[in-house]
Amino acid sequence: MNMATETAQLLSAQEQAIVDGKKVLHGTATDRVLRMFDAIRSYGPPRVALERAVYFTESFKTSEGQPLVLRWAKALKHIAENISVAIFDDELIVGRPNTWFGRYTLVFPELDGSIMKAGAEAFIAAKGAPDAVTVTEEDKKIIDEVLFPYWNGKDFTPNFVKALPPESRHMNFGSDPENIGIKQTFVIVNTSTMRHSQNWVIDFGKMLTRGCKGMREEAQARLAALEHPRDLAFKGPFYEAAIIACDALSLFAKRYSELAGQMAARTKDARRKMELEEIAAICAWVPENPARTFREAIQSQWFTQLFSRLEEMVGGDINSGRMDQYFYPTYKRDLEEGRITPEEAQELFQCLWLNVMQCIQSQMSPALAKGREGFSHHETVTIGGQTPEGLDATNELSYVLLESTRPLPCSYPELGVRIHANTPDKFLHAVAEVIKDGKGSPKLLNDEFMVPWFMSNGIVMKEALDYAISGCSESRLPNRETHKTGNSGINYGAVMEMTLRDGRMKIHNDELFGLKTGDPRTFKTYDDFWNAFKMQLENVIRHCMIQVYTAVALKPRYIAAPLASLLHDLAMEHGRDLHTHGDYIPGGLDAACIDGLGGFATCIDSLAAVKHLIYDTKKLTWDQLLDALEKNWEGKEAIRQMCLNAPKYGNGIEWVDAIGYEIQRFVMEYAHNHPKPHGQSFNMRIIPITFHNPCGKVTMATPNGRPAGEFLSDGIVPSHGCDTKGPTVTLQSIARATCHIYKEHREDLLNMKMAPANVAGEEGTRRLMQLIRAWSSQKHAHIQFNILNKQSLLDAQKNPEKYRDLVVRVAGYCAYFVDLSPSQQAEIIARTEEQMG
Amino acid sequence: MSNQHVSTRAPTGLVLNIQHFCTHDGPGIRTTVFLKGCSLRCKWCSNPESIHLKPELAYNPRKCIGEKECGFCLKDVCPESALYAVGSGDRPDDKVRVNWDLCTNCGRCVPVCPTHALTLFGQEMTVDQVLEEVEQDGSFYRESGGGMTVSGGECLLQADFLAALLAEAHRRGINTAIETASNVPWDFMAKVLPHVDTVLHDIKLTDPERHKRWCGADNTRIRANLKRAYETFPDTKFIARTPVIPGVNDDEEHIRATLAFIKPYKNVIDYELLPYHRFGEGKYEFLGAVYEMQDFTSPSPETLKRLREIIDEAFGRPTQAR
Ligand code: SF4
Ligand code: SF4
Repeated sequence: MNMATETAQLLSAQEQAIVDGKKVLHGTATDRVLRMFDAIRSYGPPRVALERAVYFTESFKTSEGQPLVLRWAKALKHIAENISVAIFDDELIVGRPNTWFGRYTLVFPELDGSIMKAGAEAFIAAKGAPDAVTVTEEDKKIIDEVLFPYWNGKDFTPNFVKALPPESRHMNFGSDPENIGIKQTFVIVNTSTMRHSQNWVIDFGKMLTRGCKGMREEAQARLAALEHPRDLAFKGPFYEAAIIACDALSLFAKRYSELAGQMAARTKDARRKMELEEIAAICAWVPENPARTFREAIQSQWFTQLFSRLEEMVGGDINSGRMDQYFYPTYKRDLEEGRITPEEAQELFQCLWLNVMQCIQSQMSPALAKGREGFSHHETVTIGGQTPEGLDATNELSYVLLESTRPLPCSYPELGVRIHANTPDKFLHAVAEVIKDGKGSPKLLNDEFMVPWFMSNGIVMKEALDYAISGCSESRLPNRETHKTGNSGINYGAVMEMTLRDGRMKIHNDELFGLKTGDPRTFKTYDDFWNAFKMQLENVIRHCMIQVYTAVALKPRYIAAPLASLLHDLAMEHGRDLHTHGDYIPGGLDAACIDGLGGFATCIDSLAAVKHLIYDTKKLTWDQLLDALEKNWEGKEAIRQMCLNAPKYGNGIEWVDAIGYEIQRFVMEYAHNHPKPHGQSFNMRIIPITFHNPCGKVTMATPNGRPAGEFLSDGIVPSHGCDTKGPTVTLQSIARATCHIYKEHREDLLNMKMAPANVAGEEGTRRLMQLIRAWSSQKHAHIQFNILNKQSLLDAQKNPEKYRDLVVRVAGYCAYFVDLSPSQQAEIIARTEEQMG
Repeated sequence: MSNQHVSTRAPTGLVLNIQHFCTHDGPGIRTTVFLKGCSLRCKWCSNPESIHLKPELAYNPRKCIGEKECGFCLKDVCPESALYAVGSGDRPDDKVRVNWDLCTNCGRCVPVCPTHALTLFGQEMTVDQVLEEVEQDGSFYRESGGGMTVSGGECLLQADFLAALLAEAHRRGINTAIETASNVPWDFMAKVLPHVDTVLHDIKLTDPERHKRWCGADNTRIRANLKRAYETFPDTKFIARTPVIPGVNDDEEHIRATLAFIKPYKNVIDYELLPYHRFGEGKYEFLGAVYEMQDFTSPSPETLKRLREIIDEAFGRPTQAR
């Protein structure tokens, strides 16, 4: 009877556009936007942009000994005064830190100058690889002769590595004393050496309504009011820095105003002349002053965003906050007064997306860049959700924003939609349609998870309702959160390996990294095995936490962020740079995170296979299993098949899902019992970025049937291809494996892949909406979809040219498929394509 | 076709498969329970495993890793010695073969096979076991107005089990639907239908002779059953469906005749066309059976559109883009 369903292959809008050779996926884009898009795509791989680093260094040479925050502000001013300014054809929203129209990556020698020389060499050697950054001879010379000599030994990374207690250092960086941060063991992972700050949201709305002028005046007033000598000593420099940072930002914009004016005077093209004159007028006004029009607001936002990039490397990027909220007042006014149409607003948004698209984040070490493949950056734009009054927050601009992301085959902006119980059907319908385009965008965050989470961490509801999505799947309260330090990550695969091998890691020459929990052959019961696993896991978490505490303590000596701080209510009130958050900033939510970087399901399935095969059915002995694992299944196919076909997480099998819950509960309990000072929580979540790939590379064969070196499971989802019962059962299993009862449980990342045929037509859209509603009421934190045919991905591997513009959802971000490494491509292909009947 | 294996199976039913998140089997997000056994023999059937009302061994040679790597099933497992390897040891193909004439479908070889090359189609399950699996999707029914659909084979052949399953589903607040070809004794329908919210029933062909030729039985009983069902259960929703197969029933006459048949009844709320799509040929091979399967093609989008327009007009609604 189930014979006659329509299962012919259907294509998503994105796939269709590629097949048809169309430039626009959906809707329309202006010629201007298309020309710019083409120019950016044709530029080729991103190149390092060094001017920022050079002027930063120049300034630092002259300010040694002064308070760090002040040095930082002066350096920003020096950059603003000297960095090249450039406006290219067609640009409406101007400002860039580089001198070419194409992708670039900034470097930050204060973070990792010591390894920069080696990093540049590695990138030059990797030239032509899909994810290699271009470093020219000239660039190399600057790195070798200007940046490296000054920063060698003065930068954060090596000093952090040296500051770690020996055991923690060993676990993260191995036994080579020469390794000062360029290589990680991936037994555990730290990210504080990869960035000044974890993903962050600054309060752009404040800049739009008050301007640099308003912020400067506040800083001046606070400075003038200081009276206590202690405040004069400590807060004084901060306010001075804030004033200088405001000056710097304004100055940078003014230089653009001047340039636009000069170009307008020179150009013969009457139309461009008008455009340039308008640019000149806008840049003369914002960001110094409050934005009066929508266009001024966009320009002001971009300058602020760009300047924040010059200030610090925010891993996971400077997120854009709730754009449909803070841009709405100027948009509404312009619309009412006939100054703008929705189409014009879309074009301006697209100009902004094209600017964002050019700015790539890369680590100065290809080894570390592996964790963020496809030049990941995710300046998440938040739309939807609720207002602080608890009402639905969607407005006309939410729709304009949503539509603006559809025409171009690019993954920027990273769009995130907040869903809640009262999200209107109309909006959800529009969102589902965009998801169906197949670009993996937007991702969804669930207010029904997020708001209670903030409240359980002491935030009042009104404020919790105003959160913005940040990074992959996190969220921020831009004026309340203070933890601005990169987190650490657990490789669950390594935890499993150390449990099986008495604390040793095969790939690292059998070195002992973990605890000596014994030879599994001596484990009488499954509980013995489970307890050994827990001990290894606890040890790993302990070292992750040590890492974070070490970084937090060290950072104020190496890193400051006057701009991010002056836009933060609490930092401004207390005259404190945000990077000093280790000494609690009063009123702040200082929530750190430890990430499960892959292998959560690998562990559940491995534990389940051991329980099932060795202890319950006694089909295997430890000797047989360990031998097969050591041999990486070579000649042991029958045993591998038994492992592969053992019960798997994600199929609604309660006892298996319960293992996931117990892992999570154990982790949360540890975090709960080891809170940070001032009762702030150390949060645990499961989010891979693309680290499940390098983490898998170092992990031997695992009892779930996975071969050595293969990627680990990703996020909170079941192992690749192992959940065979469709998305509803998968979600149900995930819900059952999630331990919500601790305030330490933060967002887990949930990827789902479907074939377009499964959501075809209006009926398909409705089903997707229903799936999303159910996901929301099950209180999952996050979800994102890849709606593509497996066949297209396989084709794209063969014909990368044809599929140059194919965008896929990787982790908390999207990327061009062809920019990914072969193993990451394979991982994406292997994700289960959820079937619907 | 005779009904010799019709039985009143309770409290367990012979379940072929439970499929989650189905998209074509009734309103909302649904879970479809496929019961084994059928009372028709349609020539285009691509689910041979659903035909017989008994468990059946299936063997997928592509999954077998051979005697040397494994050979577990060859070690004193099969009471009938129905399993053997052609080449053995280092010969390239040392995969296992099934002597189907000897196999009694006892299923003893299934649990020893690590690769699931040997599996059993059809599993005895209780109402509770089925619903436990179905209720995994509970929160999705709430959001979508979905529920459980029971299909087959011909689900009505296991009428007692089916009635018990549907009644219990209703007690648990689950919306119910069945998919049926209605070629069963009226008693079976009478027993089951009180517990069904939506009946999705096939009308494959109009002419009794042709019905017999293509489906192995004529449609007299089917039509009588349907008429009586429409009348006896005025509050139950019925949706008529035709699997559209070029050369068999893709003609306007059939569509119009079906419309004429259903239109007098207000409780037949829709008439759907399901384009035939060929898949699953491999399953014949897995069952060790050689079935002469004719080459059926899928209907063209134009044909479907034309036929759907007739239906939309009869239901007085604008033609929807599909
Ligand atoms: S089902 Fe029974 S009779 Fe058939 S091959 Fe397997 S063990 Fe032998
Ligand atoms: S047990 Fe399965 S995999 Fe092993 S030889 Fe038999 S059929 Fe092949």
